[in-house]
Amino acid sequence: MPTYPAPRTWSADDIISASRLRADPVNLAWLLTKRPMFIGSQQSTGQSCATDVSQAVTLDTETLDGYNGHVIGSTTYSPPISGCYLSEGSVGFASASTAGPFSAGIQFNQNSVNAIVWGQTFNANGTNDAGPRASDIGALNATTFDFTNLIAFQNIGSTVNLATPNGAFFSTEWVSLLPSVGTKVTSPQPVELWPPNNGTSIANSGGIAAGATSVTVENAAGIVVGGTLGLDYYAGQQVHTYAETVTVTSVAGTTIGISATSYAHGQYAPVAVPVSAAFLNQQVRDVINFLAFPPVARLNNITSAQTLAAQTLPAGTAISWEAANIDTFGGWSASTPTEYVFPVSGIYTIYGQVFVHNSANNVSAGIGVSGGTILWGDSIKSTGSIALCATVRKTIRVTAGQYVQLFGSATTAAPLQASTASSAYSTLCVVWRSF
Amino acid sequence: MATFAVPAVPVFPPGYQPQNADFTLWWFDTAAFLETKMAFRGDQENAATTIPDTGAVTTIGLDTAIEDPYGGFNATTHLWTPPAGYSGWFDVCYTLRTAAQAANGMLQIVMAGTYSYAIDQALGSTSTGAGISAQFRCYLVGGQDSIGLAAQLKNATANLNTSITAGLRSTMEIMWTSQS
Repeated sequence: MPTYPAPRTWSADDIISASRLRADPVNLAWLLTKRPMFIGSQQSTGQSCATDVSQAVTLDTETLDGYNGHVIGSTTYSPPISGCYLSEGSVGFASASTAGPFSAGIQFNQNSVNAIVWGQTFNANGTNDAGPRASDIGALNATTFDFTNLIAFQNIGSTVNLATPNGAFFSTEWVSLLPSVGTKVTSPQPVELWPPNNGTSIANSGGIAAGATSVTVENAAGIVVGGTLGLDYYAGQQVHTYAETVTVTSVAGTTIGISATSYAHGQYAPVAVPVSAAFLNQQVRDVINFLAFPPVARLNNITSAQTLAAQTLPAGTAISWEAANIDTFGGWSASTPTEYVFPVSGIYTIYGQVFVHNSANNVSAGIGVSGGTILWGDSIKSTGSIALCATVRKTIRVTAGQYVQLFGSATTAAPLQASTASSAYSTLCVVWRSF
Repeated sequence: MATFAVPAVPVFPPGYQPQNADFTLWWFDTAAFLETKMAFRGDQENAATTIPDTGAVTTIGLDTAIEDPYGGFNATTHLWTPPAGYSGWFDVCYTLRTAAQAANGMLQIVMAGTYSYAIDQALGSTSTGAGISAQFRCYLVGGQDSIGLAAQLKNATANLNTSITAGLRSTMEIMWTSQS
């Protein structure tokens, strides 16, 4: 069973013991290489979905359930540890001969309170079977027996069964610690090789002078900002009377910024690169904290009167967000309500949905990064006057400071869904994945 | 982007004086991979694919690797395969984009390669361009399993071409998620 990573802050005199290392890197590696995740589907049930009923989808097949959070034949997944979970699924309805609305939703049960949010929603035409999908992020607390599951909905006036096989697919994935317990690392650093036992040596031609604030070394492995270097130290011992320690202020390749030296040091002089407390705090503690609590956000627009103007693709309207249910790094601000600003560079999974109200329409959803070309996902059509929800899911690479916006585009003017039930509205989900 | 060794849960033996190389194995390899996970991002930029109105499942000709540090993409088969030794669970993200379609056509995303599940279907827009997006998590055996994007057009009256216009392209993104 995975354990919450709770890495220690190292002090100068701490011994790097096996027990301490087990308590930190092992917990994280266990959690992220055997991540709490569930993948299940409905293959043989052919579940009956009554009209105008929110139907929890039975999952009769498990593809992955490493921590036994699901019981075959049940609808729900209960997480083994608390955290933010990204739940996603699709529902495959069997053919229906009557036109009407179809939808898929994600439910999170938090402390015994159920909340369904509908995803892709459209009006099928009575000729084709429908396969809507949905994604959402929710905070689940294992100690209050929270759960998540996939919901199917149709309202054509008669019962529709799910298809056999492939009646539904559902997955949920732990993506971060709960915001109440995670530790934010605002400037995570790439992990470095461990310092070499024999350290390195000065590469500056002629050495460095007293008062130098920079030194070039043969090998920068293990040298980190805030760490310590021993000039004219070898294997922990002074090799000259003017040996001294300096603090690393910057690292640019093999050029190392240092606190000013008191003495001159010759070319080829040995440089000790100790496994300092600063090294361990940056390279073990901070790496663990960041990977266990990366940027994750879920923004919503529940009550807005915003209207999508009639537009022709690829023109779109940015959706304004009213609140952040989850925002581990504070990437969203009400002062720029359409933007989520990426706090850290890297690859992100983005999911957005644009829910419009009562419109026979063509509606699209797309994402744009810092004013660039909008990347469009769904462009779907409704054949009747119902709520319509288009979705987009992309994995993109961005740099810190860029921002993402969700765009909607409709061929006739359409107000965003202002749902009295708070279950059908626009959302934007953001998950950091990788440098 | 850099590539890294397969991550593993480290074992720290007691009563042992490690060398720095031990820490490379115990911590650097795992942490570096978890920070910089295996990823592929690709799209269709050069030549459109025709999706027939017969309902035949058609592999979309993804032709451009935007990011593929582990070199798993085959532009001829349009499939991506993780390298040998890198088996694991992957998050696959699809966007299927086409020209505007006839009124009754149903667009469906189908997985290509090792898996062939149909995972999302909706009436595509009849204005300007149609599109659907989908996501799936699956296990891929390194060096063996492959994955791509395919599409099916149901009850349509005409073939449909995919779009290669920037912002309106079909895409596939794959992200390593977990080992077991």
